[in-house]
This record gives sequence, C-alpha cells and structure tokens, in this order.
Amino acid sequence: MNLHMKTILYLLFLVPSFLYAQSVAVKGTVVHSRLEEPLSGVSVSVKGTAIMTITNLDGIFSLPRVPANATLIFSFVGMETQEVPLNGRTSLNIALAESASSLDEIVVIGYGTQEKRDVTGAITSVSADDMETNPGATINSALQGRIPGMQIVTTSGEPGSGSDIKIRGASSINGGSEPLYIIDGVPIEASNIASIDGDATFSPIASLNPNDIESIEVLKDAASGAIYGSRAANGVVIITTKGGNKFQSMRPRITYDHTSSLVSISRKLDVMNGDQFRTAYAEARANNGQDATQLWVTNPHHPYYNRTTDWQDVIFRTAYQSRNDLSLRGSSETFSYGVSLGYRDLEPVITSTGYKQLNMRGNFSYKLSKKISAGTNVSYTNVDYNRILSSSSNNYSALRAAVFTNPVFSPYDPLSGELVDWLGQRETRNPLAMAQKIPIGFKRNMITLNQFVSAELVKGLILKTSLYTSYETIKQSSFQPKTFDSATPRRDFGKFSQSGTNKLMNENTLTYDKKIGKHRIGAVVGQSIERDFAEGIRLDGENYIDSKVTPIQTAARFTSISQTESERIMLSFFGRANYNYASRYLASFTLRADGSSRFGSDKRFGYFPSASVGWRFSDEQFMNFSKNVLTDGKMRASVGITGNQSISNYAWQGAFSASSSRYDGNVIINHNSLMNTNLGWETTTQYNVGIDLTLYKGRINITADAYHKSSKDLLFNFPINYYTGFGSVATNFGSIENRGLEFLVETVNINKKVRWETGFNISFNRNKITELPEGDDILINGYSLGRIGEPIGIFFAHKALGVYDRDESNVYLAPDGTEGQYRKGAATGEAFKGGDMIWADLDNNGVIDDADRMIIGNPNPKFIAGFTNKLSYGGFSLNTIFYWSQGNMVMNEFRRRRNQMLVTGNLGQDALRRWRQQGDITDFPMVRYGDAMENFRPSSFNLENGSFIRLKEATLSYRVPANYLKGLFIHSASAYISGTNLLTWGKYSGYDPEVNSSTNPFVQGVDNGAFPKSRSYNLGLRIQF
Amino acid sequence: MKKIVLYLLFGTSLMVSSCDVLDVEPTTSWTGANIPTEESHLYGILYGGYGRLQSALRINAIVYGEMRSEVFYNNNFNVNIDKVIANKLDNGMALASWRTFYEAVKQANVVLKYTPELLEKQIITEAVANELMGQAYVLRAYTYFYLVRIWGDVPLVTIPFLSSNELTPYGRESQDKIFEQIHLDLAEGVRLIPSSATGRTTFTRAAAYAIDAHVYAWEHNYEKVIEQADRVLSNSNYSLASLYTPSISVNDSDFKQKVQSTEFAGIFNTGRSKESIFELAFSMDDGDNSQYLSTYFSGSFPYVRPRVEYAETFDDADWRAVIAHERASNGLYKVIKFTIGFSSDVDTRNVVLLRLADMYLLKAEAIVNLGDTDDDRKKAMALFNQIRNRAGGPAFEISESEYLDRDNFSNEYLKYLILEERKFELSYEGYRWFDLVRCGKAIEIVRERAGIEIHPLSFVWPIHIEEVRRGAGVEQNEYYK
Repeated sequence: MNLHMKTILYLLFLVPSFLYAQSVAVKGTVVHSRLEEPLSGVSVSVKGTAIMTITNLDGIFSLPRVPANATLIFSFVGMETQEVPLNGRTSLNIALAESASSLDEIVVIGYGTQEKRDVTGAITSVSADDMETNPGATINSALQGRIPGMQIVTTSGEPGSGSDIKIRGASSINGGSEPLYIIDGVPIEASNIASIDGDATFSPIASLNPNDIESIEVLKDAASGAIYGSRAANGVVIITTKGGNKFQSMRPRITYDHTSSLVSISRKLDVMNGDQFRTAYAEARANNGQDATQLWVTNPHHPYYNRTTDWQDVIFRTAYQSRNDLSLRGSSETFSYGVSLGYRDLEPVITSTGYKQLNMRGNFSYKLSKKISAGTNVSYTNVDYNRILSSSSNNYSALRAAVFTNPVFSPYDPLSGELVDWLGQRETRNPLAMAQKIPIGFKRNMITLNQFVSAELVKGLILKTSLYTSYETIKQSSFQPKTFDSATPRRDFGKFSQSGTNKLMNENTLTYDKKIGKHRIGAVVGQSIERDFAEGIRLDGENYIDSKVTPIQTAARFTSISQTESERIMLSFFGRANYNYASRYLASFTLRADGSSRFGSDKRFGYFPSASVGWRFSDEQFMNFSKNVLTDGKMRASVGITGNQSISNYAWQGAFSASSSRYDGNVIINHNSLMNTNLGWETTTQYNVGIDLTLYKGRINITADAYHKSSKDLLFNFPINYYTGFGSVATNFGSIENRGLEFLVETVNINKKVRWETGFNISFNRNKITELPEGDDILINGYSLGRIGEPIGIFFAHKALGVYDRDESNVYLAPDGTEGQYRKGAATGEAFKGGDMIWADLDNNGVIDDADRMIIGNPNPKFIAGFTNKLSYGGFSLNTIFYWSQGNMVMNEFRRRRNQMLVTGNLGQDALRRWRQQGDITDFPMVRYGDAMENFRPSSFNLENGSFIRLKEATLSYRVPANYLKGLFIHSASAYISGTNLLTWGKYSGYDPEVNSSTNPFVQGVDNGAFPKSRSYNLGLRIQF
Repeated sequence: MKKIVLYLLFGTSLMVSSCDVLDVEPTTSWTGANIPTEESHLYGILYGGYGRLQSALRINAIVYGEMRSEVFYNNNFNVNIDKVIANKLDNGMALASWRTFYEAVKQANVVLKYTPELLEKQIITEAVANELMGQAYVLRAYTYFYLVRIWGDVPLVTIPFLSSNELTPYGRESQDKIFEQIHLDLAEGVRLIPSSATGRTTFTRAAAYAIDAHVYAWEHNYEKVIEQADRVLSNSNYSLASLYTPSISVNDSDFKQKVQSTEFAGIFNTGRSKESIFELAFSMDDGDNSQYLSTYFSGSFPYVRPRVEYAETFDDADWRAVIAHERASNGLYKVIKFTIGFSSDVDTRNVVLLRLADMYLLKAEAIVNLGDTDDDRKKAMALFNQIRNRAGGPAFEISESEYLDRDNFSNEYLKYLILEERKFELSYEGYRWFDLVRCGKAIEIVRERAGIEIHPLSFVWPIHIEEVRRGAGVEQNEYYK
C-alpha cells in the first residue's frame, strides 16, 4: 500500500496541474495471470494525473472521468506494473503477472523504512510466508537457512527453548552472541530464561506468536545496526507484526488458521539390550577389580531382571500438536486495526509433559487530525508448560534416563503390572514414574503496551514520541516426592520461584524527508531512555505434608529463601542522515551515544558512528549497453562501530550479598565479586562491501557481501586463580576477528503457468582470536581453548591413537634409550595396559598429562548454506528448504559420559566392539567402571564430524480457486500438508548434529545430550472471510 | 516550530541530568564500595567465613583427614571417594580444589581490613572490634592449617582482593612461612578474643590454643604443644563428657540404647557438649542440608563403611565402639557416630572439629616424645588413662606397673599406644590420616593394614588442574607432575 501512496505522492509532486481532455468512463477487471483469479486492491491510476482508484474484492474497478487518450497504470505489490493506453476503449480486462524483482519492496530499518533499492547496508528480509508451518515453529527456526551469515543452533528441541545465534561469527564471549531483537520498534534484549532446576533455558522471544509476524529484517553490518549502538554488535533482528499500520480502505477480514501435527523424535540412539549390558557391566566391574554382585547381574532370570527395555520407547512418544489462529484485520483512511488470537497446544514428545501457549495482540493506529496520528499496540502472552528435567547432567533428567537406564528392568511391576517408583529392589528410579510424579511447572505471563503519537510539524518533518511498557511474570515450581529420595531418612524437596521483569521506555524521534529535484534527503534524530527492572523470589522447601497438592507453604521448612532485584538504565541519543541523488548515489551516516548504568562513571557513555555509501552503476550512461541483461546493479560499502554490554547489571561495582543460608542462626554476607571500575564497552568495528545485481528483469537476483569485523575489549567473566577467593572477574579482555563472505542467489527459473523459484545462500566465516591478556591461552569448560590466531572455543584435548591390544604393547622408548611404559598423569602414575587408549605423547616423556593436549578440531563450520525451492502450478505449490552446515566438529559429551560408567548406565551399540581380552585389536577401549585410566577423557575419540544437510521442511499447499468460493462468504481458502525436520544426512552418532548444550559462545559444539529436535507431519488449513 | 524548541529543551535537560539517571546501585545486595559500614555487616561477613569453612569441611574434614588411612573402604562406588581411599589422587578431582578454603580466608581478610577502619570512625566499639578481629584471625589460621596439611606449600593471602586491579600473581609460599603466619594469627586471636567468650560454634581463646597445640604438634615442637594444650586443659569451661558408668551393665537388654544416650554420644549428636572446643554449627533452620551424613555413612547404601578388620580392633570392653559403628547381620559395619536418632525432621549434626579428649592425648603424645623418664610416663599415661577410664571403666586402664615395665613398654610402643588410642577415641572424626602423617606412621600402617603403598611425596594432595592452568606461579606438587 505504501507503494500506492508513493505513487500518488510522486504524481502530486511532479504534476501539480493538468488539463482535462475529452472524458470517458472506464471500467474493467484485474486478474492474477497465473491463478486466473481476481486481484483486489490493485492501484489503477491515470498516467500524468492524480486520478486513481483501487480494485474491489472481485477485482473490478471503475473510473468515471478519464481522458479518452489516457494511459492507465496498474500496480500491485509483488506484481509487475503494467501501463495500458486506452486507445478509446472503455472496458479493460487486465492480467497482471507476478513480478520477479523485489526492488520496490519496503525494508524496515532502524527508526524508519527504506526502499530495498536504496539500501546501503547488509540487510536480509524474510516475510511471513517463509515462516515454518509446524505448530512448534519459532522465529529462529524460520530464519535458519534463509539468512546468509546467520548461524542458528537451537539448544534443544524443547518447546520455547533458546537458541544459540551468531550473525557473522561470534564477536563476543560473555554469553552475548544473541542479536538484538526489535519488535515493532522496541528493543528486546534477549537473555534466555533459566529453568528453576537450571537444566534448560527458554527464549524470551518465544512469547511472540510467529503467526503475528509480517516481516523480519536481519541487519548484519555495522552501518545498519549502529543506530542501535551499544547492543548491535551481534546484529539486529527487526520484527514487524501484522495489522494496524497502514491507512487505506480495506474491508474487515477474518482469517482462521489451523494446523494439526503428529510429532515424534527425529532419531533414536542405539542402546544395548539386557544381556549385552549385563555382560558389559560385569566386564566393567571386573576390569576395575570388582565383582559384580548385583542381583540383576547374577540372577538374569529373575522376573525383575529378565527384560530388555529400550527406555527411549518409554520416555518418548508421538505427540499431537495443534495451532489455531484467528485474526481480524482491516482499515479505513483514518483507522487501521489488526487483532489476533493464537493458541498453540504443543504437547512435547516426552511423556507426561504439556505445553500450551496463548497469544493475543491488538495493533491499532488512528488519525487524530490531518497532521497528527497515533497508534496503540497491546499484546498478551500466556505460557503454561508442565515439564520434566531435560538436561543430561542431572540424575532425574528424562533424557539421561531414556538412554542411561538399565535395560534389564521394566517400568511396571512384573507381577502386579503396576507402575513402580523404583525399579528392581530399589535399585534405580523408574524414569516413567518420575515423569508422571515429579511435576515441574513453568508459567509465563507477559503484557506489552506501546503507545505512540506522531505529528507532522511542518511538511516532511515528523515528531514521534512513544511510550512502551512490558510486564512479565514467570512462576516456576518443582516437587520431588519422598519416594524418589535415595537417602535415609527420605525427604521430599520442592522449589518455587517467581520472577518479574518490567521494561519502561520512552523514545522521541524527529524525522525529516524531502525531495528536491533528484536530490533526496532524509534525517532522523532521537533520544530514548529505557529502564529494565527484574526481581525474583525463590523458596526451597522440604517435607511437604502432601505429595499431590504442593504449594510451597505446605513445606515443613524452608531450606533456602532469597529475593533479588536488579535494574539497568540506558540513556541514548541517536541520529541518521541519508542522501541520495536519483537513487544512483546513496549515502547514509548514523551516530548513537549510549549511556548505560552497567558501567562505571568514567566508561559510561559509548559512541557508535557509522557511514555507508552506495552506487547504482547500472543507472550510469556508460552501462546502457548492458540494459538488456542488467536490470539493476548497485555497489555498497560501509563501516561502523557497534557495541555490546552483555554483562550483569552491577558487574563493575563488585558485590557483597546475603546468602540464602545462615550460620548458627546468623545472617551471612558473602563477598561475591570483585570491583572493576575500568569495566567498559565492548566494541566491534565492521567493514562491509557488497554488490546487488538484478538480471533479466528480476529473474536473477544476486547479492554478495564481504565483511571484516574486529571486536575488542571483550566483556568476559575471566577465570582467575581460586586463591583470590573468586572464580572469575568481570573484565574487558582480548580481541576477536571475523572475516567472511556471503552470497545469496535468487532466481525465477520458470514464470509461466508453472512458476519455479529457487534461492541459494552460502556463507563462509573465519573467526580468530587476535589478542588475549598477556597472550596467555585460556581454557573454558576443560577443552574449549582460546589461543591467539585460532578460532574461539577450538577443541583442545588429547589425541587418541588407538587401543593397546595387550599389556606388552605399551612400550615407551625414552630419548636416552631406556625402555619403559607410558604412564597416566605423572612419572609415578599407573602404566597403561591392554585395552587402554593409546594417547599421543607430544613431549615424548612417557607421561600422558596436560602437556600432551593439542588442538583436535574446530567447532565452527567451514560454511553454512540454505537452499529453498518453490514450485507453483495453478493453486498448488510445493516448497522445500534445506539447511547445510559443513565442517564443524562436535564433542559428543553425552556418549563420553555413558562410556565412562561413573554410574550404572546403559551403553551404546558401539561399545560392543570394545576391547575385551589380551590380543583384541579394536579402536574402542575396555569398559571400566569409573574409568580409572581416563580412557574416556575428552579427546579426539569423542570428537565427531558434525556436518549435516537437513531437509528442514517440505510443504505442499493448495489454494482453492476463488470462483469455487463465490457465495460462500469465504474470500480465500487454502490447505497444506508439510513435514518438518524430515531428513538429515550426516555422520554424527548422537541425537542431532545441530547441537549446542552451552549458551556460552566460547563453548561451542558440545553435546551434553539435549532434548532432541522433533520431526513433525503437519496438516494445515487457512480460511479468510 | 515552538514544539521543536520545547523538544530540544526537553532533550537538553535530560542530557544534563543524565549522569544522575545512570547512577544505579543494587537494591538487594551491596557493592564493593558501600559495605561494610555497620557492625552487622562485619558480623555478616565473619559468619560468611564460618559458612565457607562449613562448606569446605562438612564431609571433607573426614575425607581429607581420615579417608586416606586404613579406616574405610568404598562401599557404593563413588568415583572420587574411591580415588581417595586407594590413595590414587589426581588433579582433576573436585576435592583437589582449594577454592572453598580460600573463600573462607577471603571473608576473614575482609573483616580484618575493614574492622579497624570502622573502629577509627567510631562506628563500632573496641570490644566489638576485638571480638570480630580475634575470630577472623583464628578463622584464617585454622583454614591455613588445613590448607598446609592438605596441599603443603600454598599461596599466603592475608589482604583481601577487592578490585580487579589488585590482582597480582601469588606464588606458593613455603610451609614455614605459613606456620609463622598461623602462629601470629592465633596469638592475635588469643589477644583479642575476650576470655568471656565461651561459644562452641565460634572461635574462642581455647579454640585458638587448641589449634596452636595441633600446629606445634605438626611441627614437632612438643614443648609448645604442652604449653598450649595446658591452657585448654586448665580451662574450666571444658570437661570430659561421661561415657562409662557402673550403673549401666553390658548385660542390660537395652545396653546399646543406654550407651547411645550418654553424654559422650551427645558430643556428636546433640552438639555444644561441655567437651567441645570448636564445632561447626549445622541446623535445618539455617538451610543446611546435611543428608550427606546418611549418604556417606548410615543410609542403606552408604558410600563408605569401616573395614571389618579396622572395626574389629576395638576392644569388646570399649564402649566407644557402641557409639562409633554398628555391625549388621551380614557382618558389615556402618558408621553411626553422627546419626544416632536421625529422623526425616532432625538430620543435621554439628561437626565437632576440636574437643578436649584430643587435647589429653595430644599432650600425652608430646610428653612421650620429649622424654622417657618414669615421671614422663606417669604424666602421659595419667592423661591416657583418663580417656581409657571414660571408655571402659577402671579395668580398661593400663596400670602403672605395666607401663613402667620397660621390657614390654618401649618408648616406641608407648607412642604407638597413644596413637592407637587416638584412633579409638577420635574414630571417624577426621583425625586418623593427619595423625599418621604427623607421627610418621602413614606409609607403614596403611601398607600393613590396607595393603596400599603410599609414596612420601604423595602425602600432599595434587593442586587442582584448573588452578595450575590459571596461575602463573602455582606449580603442581612434585609427585603429581
């Protein structure tokens, strides 16, 4: 619609007056050339005049007084504009063809919009049509594979779970690789929400209904992002919601969407059966010098122990999920509205859990007078999630239970058939009973309200002021009944926490836009102030009086009580100036000053400038020769500085805080963190050059970008020696560099009755650390290394060379010629024997210790790519999207932990090829309870290639032809079937190669066994009235 | 246009006031700059120190102090405990980290830095300042004593780190220097803590003397041991809790129950006994969860059990055995010393770290190490026999005629007897390993009784690998290189 307005404006400006020739009345219909359906809302204007109209629902227009020799212009977003001379005709039937070019599209940028042709930064847009069709779809899953340079790894397949996102590589270390989200102009800083048991995180933007989204813009380079200053270093994702944003005459339209899905885990891990595990376990005990005296080993025919249960079949299920969305949208010349209601029932694939999300949104804008307009956006989200523990590190974790639980047991009592709390003779907890009897609740409520008023002070100069507030509460609780406690005397444990966040923001902007001849200038200045406040109360209790009704006050006593509050204030000033000459020479400058209470008074304000230029060389005279091929060509270059402030609110001030426990009845105050008055902004300087080419009238679109990003003064909780009394200190440390190339090629291969479009994007990012304090290596999480010249988080561990086939094979020849044995840890350590791993002894001293660790792999992919395909014929269309990640290594911790056998946990089929006796030649070491020789230490043995190609989604949709719907009060109807996560090609042996158990960007590619991604088959329906 | 002017004015006024707007201080905690300003803050920080010591020692007092000796075996295969009992320590074990100990040191150092400042500003009285500082000195000394015994040379941190620019590398200081500092701190503690302080869950003068006696014993400075031990023994606030009494007979049907309700059993299970010199306070009301006691010792699958051979060295006439452990029908023993009368509502116990009986035997040990005259023997064995008498009555004592018989009782044998008596008396309380090391018997006894070979360089623990990786100057102990 904006386009129409622009056309009108254009006409108004250029042709202020005109003459009537002989007038006639013209009418006709406009149809979609491929679908042969009427097109409503098409703008029909008379060339050289201000006369225009819009086609109605049936595609019919009529113009009462038109010069008989006039030329009519038919234009519609996404269709090719047609000019039709009347030549005396008074009735016209026009068929508009789909346009291949997207240059006229409007792109949302920081504090404004721009035509795509005028963009000088690196911005990629995704529209509502690209959202996934499954009910569990999220913004992040929709973006994956569509944005060159954006790497998205969902941390788990749990509903609402967080993601690990990197735009153009990791530029920060302190948990801050998430981009800044701007939802309808409001910055939402996305720190993931931790679950009460600390086993999972949830994405804050999961509160947004994907069906409410109209468009998503990803701002990748500094010039685009710098207007968001101190939070834009990881890129910016601008989300615009549907409805209530345009003044035009559009009758009320009710849309109903429904999707039903069958969802199951996309892969099962192989596990041993009862007898295989019994044998392996007895062997593991024997290898550790112990007898396996457990009844389940010695008495295999006992009814308790004679089963073979694959606990994955018990824990996982095929779930039915559904999504229902109802919306009403419409507008007039003075009032525009969009209200929506969405309900998603996302039953997870883990037994006894449930997830329900309700979303409501109302977007309204209205004209108060000719010069003043205002708008109101309100939204409400309610999430009710009943879950069980999901991460692998906890004994009660469902996932761990599904794989680790001893297969010889059955979840039901062999005689009575009843569900038992403990398996066998209180040998291990029954994961099925735990799933049913240990309720963990997660409830989230969020309300947002945004009110703005804008006034045109003088022509072209608009003052806009807005006030935004959001209030969110999260209530979490968990309860573990006595029956599952292994200690004596048994206790039950419960937890309850309530946390709330409140954001208040005031923003005032002044924009100016003017076109003088071929010169067009635009400017924005603004100021904003934001306050983010968070509070939380948490109570842990014990010995509840009831095991089913468990409010926290029924606990006999509280073992931990704590209350916290935290506040951050940001004050910002920003501005942008744009200039373009005939859309041929483009330039843009921005500057932002951000002051944040997170930093000490000396370092409080940060300044973030940027500049970008563009040259539409295809408009130059000398390029005329290529007009037939090159429709449009533009070169872009930009430079800018962005920042990052992702460190805790009071980090620089140091902290003393009251403990939740006491000493002998006295309150305890602990000195928790060091002060650092020098703590300041982390800054990223980024250079970007790019080219946009449109060939053959938009049949081929190519975008290519090259960038260089250097980030310095990284914010980091730097590990320090424990003798200081602290584990880490918040500091600015080191520098990182990212360089990369991105390509996006979109083509319309066939544009006839059959339309075939493809899109391919690929991006290469190279990351390296360029500076560290005193040049020292830093090691996080045991094996994620930071070393100058290497990518961050590169794996640093021992290299496995095989397995000693017999004791005598361990021979170490010292440099002085003496013969000895390789030993573990120290010269006095134990010698490796047959069945132990052979390790690379880098310093050749016969001792396998820390000095023998080396770089064994890189968690960063060599490239990531996405491939989309859209094939349409008549009302049918088939869409597919593939995502490809190549060359990234994954540390399979989950597998390592299983093999270590620190507890009695089932093993994988790969352990069947283990070393068993002297002389065995294999690559899999002996199993040994407790892993005393650390054969399963972090090493190349557990490092796997995580490359994969995934068919993320395939959708077949059918749109009912309009003439079938006549007289049914239905405007349009469509249906689709689709599959999500259908196929994955890759060698990885775990649940999913797309895994990252850590939200710390330093620790990448680690698989601690997250809730696997699910595969869904969906059936959807959309009806518009 | 007017509006623009107004707007600009509004904007500028905001900019001017911006600095104040951005001054945000935490509301539910303190910063490094606004605490301590009150007496209660200093106490809070001091109790934080006790809290850290509690975390460092609650079960680990026994892990570090006893599990490497011949006492326990690993019953429920806990990997770390297995390594400790087998004396196969490695630098990746969480137990190899001194983190919590240094957190206690940190809290003490903060108190020691700020108390004089608040005193100078007359916010606190001198009496309060003395009490705070005295306890903080003893807390620091006691923590370092553990650190030295576990890791050998350790970094000597005596001023708190408050700001990142104060972070300077500390190397490991020689044990002599650490001991010097410990004695100085204890002397300060004695000087500052009022004699009227008689608490048992906080440090008192008597606690400082007792610790000092132990430190001197570790250094084999026996004159000083006697001097400091005497200061505790002469303190009327402390006396031996009763155990043996003729009014209970071994033949009573409820003999066991009666013994388990004696004052002696109460030392560990009721707390704050008259015999206790220092104990760490645990209470469910404080939020302490000490299920670890049943997890480690007395539950249905305890992590550790006493070796049968060990438990059977107790004499049948020794009533302490009835409190220390219990033998199940399958012939296996389990430690019950700290869990008598456990229920789901009462299952925390104070952890007694210093008690009077220990001083008796430590003094006896010092005497026999200093000389071997009849007089020395009488003095030492008088102390020894008081402990024996309490455990099993007069018949359980060793008579003068026996111990003066030098053909049967050599000086070495006397030392051995006292060491063994410490074992019976202080069983499972976290003494045995340190006693063996102090008396130079660790290698011999653990080899003989547990069949485990120990290298003298491995008396100290490895330093946790993370600490070595992080620190310039923190070198690994020789044995673990």
